[in-house]
Amino acid sequence: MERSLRSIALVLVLAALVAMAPAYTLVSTALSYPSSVSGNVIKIGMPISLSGHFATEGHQALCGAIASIMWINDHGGVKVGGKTYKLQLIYYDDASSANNEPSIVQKLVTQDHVNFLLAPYSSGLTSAAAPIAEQYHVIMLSHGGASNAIFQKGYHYLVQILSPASEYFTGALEIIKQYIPDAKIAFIYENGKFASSVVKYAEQKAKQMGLDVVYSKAYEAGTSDFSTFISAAKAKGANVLLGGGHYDDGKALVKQAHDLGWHLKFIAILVAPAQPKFYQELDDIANGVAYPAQWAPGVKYSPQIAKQMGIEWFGPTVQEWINYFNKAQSELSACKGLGSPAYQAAEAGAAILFLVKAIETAGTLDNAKVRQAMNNLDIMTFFGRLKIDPNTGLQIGHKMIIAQWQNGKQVIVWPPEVAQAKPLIAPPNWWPSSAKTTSTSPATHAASTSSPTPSPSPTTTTKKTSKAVLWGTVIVIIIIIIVGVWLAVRK
Amino acid sequence: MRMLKRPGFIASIVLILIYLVIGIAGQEGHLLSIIGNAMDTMMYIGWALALAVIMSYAGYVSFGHAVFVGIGAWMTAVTIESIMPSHPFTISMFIVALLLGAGVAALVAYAVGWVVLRLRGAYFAIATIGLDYVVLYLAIYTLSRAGISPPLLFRNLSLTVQSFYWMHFTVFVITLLVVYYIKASRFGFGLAAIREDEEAAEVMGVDTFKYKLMAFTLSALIAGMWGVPLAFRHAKFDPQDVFSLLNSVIMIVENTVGGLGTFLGPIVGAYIYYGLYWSLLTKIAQASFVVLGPLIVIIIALVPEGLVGWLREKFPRLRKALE
Repeated sequence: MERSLRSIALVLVLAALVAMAPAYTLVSTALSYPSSVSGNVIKIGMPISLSGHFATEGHQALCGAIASIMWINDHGGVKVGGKTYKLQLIYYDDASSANNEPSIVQKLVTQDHVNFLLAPYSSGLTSAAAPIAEQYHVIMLSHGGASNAIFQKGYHYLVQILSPASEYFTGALEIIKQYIPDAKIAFIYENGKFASSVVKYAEQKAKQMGLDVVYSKAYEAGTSDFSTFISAAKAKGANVLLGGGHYDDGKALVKQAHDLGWHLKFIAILVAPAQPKFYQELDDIANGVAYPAQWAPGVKYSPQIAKQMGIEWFGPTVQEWINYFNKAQSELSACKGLGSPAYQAAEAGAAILFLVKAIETAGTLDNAKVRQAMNNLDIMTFFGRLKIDPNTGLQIGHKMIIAQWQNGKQVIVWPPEVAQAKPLIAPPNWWPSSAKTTSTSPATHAASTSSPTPSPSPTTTTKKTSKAVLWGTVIVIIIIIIVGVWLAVRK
Repeated sequence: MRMLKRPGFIASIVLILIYLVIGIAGQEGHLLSIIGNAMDTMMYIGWALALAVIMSYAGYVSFGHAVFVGIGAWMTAVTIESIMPSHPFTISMFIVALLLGAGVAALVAYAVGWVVLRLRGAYFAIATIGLDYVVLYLAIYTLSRAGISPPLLFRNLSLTVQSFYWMHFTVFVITLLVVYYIKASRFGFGLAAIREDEEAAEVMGVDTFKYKLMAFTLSALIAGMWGVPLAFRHAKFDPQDVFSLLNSVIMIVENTVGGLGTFLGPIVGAYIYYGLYWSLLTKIAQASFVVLGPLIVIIIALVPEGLVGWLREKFPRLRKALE
């Protein structure tokens, strides 16, 4: 009796599974924009984080891409070899997990037969997806992976849209070069993958530009007391501070530099100052603090600027694109309530434009030929200039912007062609007039006060933690052996 | 010779032939989709059969079995980035990685098994979880010593999907034949005796410790081999990814759903698991394991003997065909 009940239940479960099959396909067709296209279509696949810890950035990127697709489809579509194609985006949620990327990319390429791919958000997920795209010879446009590392592995079909990590402080260094002849730069930065690679490249560039770097130290993630770093940098006579990492440490670094009376002519910090709450929490201290960004709604890229620079303009103007982004918000449930577009949205939107231009230039949908055409593209879009390095696929045309807090407002100050205002050098709250006299001989000042304050070296601290891990493993192995022997003897 | 006429062997040969045909047909562009899925199923069958040797045949649940897949992937990283750096891909690179991956996995299993196989039941399972974490942190530590924050990305070896397919196929053939031989040989009967009643087996003259140790080592060897094509295909070594406990759970689920103690069980279980995973992946993303979990619980609660076991019980006539 029980057995027959069981077999009935089993059959029911299996039947339910089979019955659910059409429901799956119903859900899956909804994950495309536009949901149906008549006529010729170019399919673009996108694994994107709609849940998990990248959900915010993922939604921005998705809707940025959709805004550009709307604009292209409304403005005559894509013309390839005398035929007109509409764009369709097919996207799946990767749940912010690198584990899911290979299968999702495989599904997009082999089942949905997409012509091209947009990468997922973040460097980590992009590095999980890129090898699979490469195996199938499908172009993948990286719009959210800043790390240079992926592009040094010899991938041919991976193309970068945003500026790489190596470019984050380039604008700040240019400002320093132009405005502060007596600059002495201090780098104080988090030892994570992003910030340390940003600073590694910035130090090289500073050397090339003949700038004086007097201090450079990394701190452990989660550090809250920066006094040893600050006094050591101060003792070296540093008058420019570059660095940071994430929000909390970047904010604490700025606050403590000010509280300890460090007089600075220019400060640029990663990530933290981009948030509006940076000013709410630091008030006047925030004024004068600058930060690098990929894009901001206030940028002044326009067809006129493109003309002046002798580059072709492609796609919507900044305002047009923002309007389409808002349209996407009102039409699509996935895009509701995103507010103003963040730079993640602009990056993905620019990726679509760069791809469309390359397809039209190549005159074919063949991936190898479109990839070839990308090598020679040099265009200006609402996101800025786009041009790639033919060998690596790294973005070399796009310039990061530098924004700065001025009178409680975020103002774009660099590069000059898109700037809303001039950079504020030696802001009065950071460089009081009394400092000007003492700064005349910083070198002697440094020599007299530089007491040997041994700040914890970042390399030794990482070594310490790794050593702890090693000892931990040794102890665990010993415990396992002891328990094993004990059990054996007991028997 | 009699071994070669049994249904398990015939099923293996049929499977090998099917995958061979898919591989040859998949050289053309429009069959690429089949080739991707075929590669995945081969890998999941391989994982299931690797664990089956110790779990299904000898009755010892190795809960951290992903550790051996991870070691295989690690050794692939060592081969590509340290032993043969800046070489273009050659067959020898795959063979070196395979020998190294399988060899190191087997060595680790032998050394660890020598200690922990004296433990029984849940203790053995817990010890293998511990091993998984030890090796995971050892890998992270080694990478950070080399100045790499994980994952370690390999250089692009410019391999095609087809070459990955043949890598999987090679390991697949070895796995099927070796595991079938283990199951059908005298050694396999010894393991079955241990599974059913270890004391009785010992009394009957089975050297239980030696048998268990051999089974664990062989099972690790096969799992280690499967780490190699995986690492080549994903072009990276990500410790958090390959040593993930989730991979171990997948192996256990495949075995339990398919049916313990049978040769075909893990294979059937692998198809069921992969079918569900593939169809749910893009539908509910985050929730796919939420759905998968209860489904598996239901199946196990209703048919604890697994699908193949259930069919054997329900249709005694099929018993001969379902090994």
